[in-house]
Amino acid sequence: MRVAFDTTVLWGAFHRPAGPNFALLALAAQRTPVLDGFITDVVGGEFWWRATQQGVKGPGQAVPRTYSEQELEPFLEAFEVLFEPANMARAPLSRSLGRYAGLVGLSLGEFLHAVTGRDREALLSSVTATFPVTFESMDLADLHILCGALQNGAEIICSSDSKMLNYDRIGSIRITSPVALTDELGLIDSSTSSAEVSRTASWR
Amino acid sequence: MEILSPEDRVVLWRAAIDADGSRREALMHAIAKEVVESLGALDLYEDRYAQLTIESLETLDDAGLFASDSLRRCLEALHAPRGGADLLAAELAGLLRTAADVERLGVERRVRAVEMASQWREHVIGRRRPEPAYLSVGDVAARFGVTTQAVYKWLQKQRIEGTRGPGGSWRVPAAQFERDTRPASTRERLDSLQAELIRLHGGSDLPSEADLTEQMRAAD
Repeated sequence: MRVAFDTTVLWGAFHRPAGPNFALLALAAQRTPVLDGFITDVVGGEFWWRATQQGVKGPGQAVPRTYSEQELEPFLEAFEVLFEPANMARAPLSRSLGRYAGLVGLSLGEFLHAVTGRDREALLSSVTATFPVTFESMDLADLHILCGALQNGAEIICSSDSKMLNYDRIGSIRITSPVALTDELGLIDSSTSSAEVSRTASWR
Repeated sequence: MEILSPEDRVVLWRAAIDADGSRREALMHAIAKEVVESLGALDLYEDRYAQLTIESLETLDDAGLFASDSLRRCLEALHAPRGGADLLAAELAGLLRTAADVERLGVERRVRAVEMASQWREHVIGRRRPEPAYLSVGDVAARFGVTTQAVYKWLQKQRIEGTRGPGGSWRVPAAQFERDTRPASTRERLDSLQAELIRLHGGSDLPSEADLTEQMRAAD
């Protein structure tokens, strides 16, 4: 099962180290035969940029919390096998290429031809038609995830992004959430009764 | 010492789930005693393992994981001649990792859950195997830091190779885990990272996953 992780999975693992995102990354980093997971250079770079420059806001917080390199270091070291440039998959386009294509003076058709190498007929052929992605349905800034997944033979894109999760499948690639994937791999213990989960132990 | 039958252990486990107060405490300790007895098979029958067992069960109880069906199955098989104690130790490790995600336990107990998971894991990994070429379900769970339930699912879905032995227990060829020669992270390092990150974020008000992705999108 070859899985492309997007930045939401890295963020989820970083913030919730005993949660489903971490469990999936850990399986991938340990090279288990059940999950051949990877991130692309663009996803890795985006994670770094968001963590160090953009930050995140908790409930009620006015200022986003950014992280220092020292704070990120243990995460990057433990998952070095995914982040190491030599091991990282390459995405064929960056996250801002689609967004700023107009700035370099290309028409959309020319842009698509430049990115894919295909002419109009090829782009409109059956392969293109089976891809339900439109500019309205997908954020162009996320196009790199799809392209990176295609380029690197992913069977699954794992993401928490609601826009991405609107798709069940894009062409041959299945789109799934970290929770659904951990459930599929049996990593979530679904056998505990809900009554017991909510119960506060009183035996001590 | 007399050892309870598998059925008796399940009755004990169910009774503990249903009980409250001092009765619950007594039943939990009776289960812990059974577990510690079984650890003799792992050469771990020492006081500190009794403490580790009790603390582990307490943590799972407080995290709402004591009633896990996979724990019941492992308790049932506890004294099985082929790897019953390993199975339980690996399951405790897996469930403690799940418990580390339960915020109401507080930072220190969540970190401690990860530490205990590592201890159980090391016990399984470190023991001598009669057949090094084959792993048990407990071995695989301990190796990758997952529950035994996950490994059973992998076997059932044929995500990993394995065959059932004469007694019905799984034999998992170890060689399949050596085929991928790319550099890999160690479970020890990942456990240590989990503890570091729980401490880093512990107590801070973090955004939900939905909030997180919404913030990322808004910033584009």
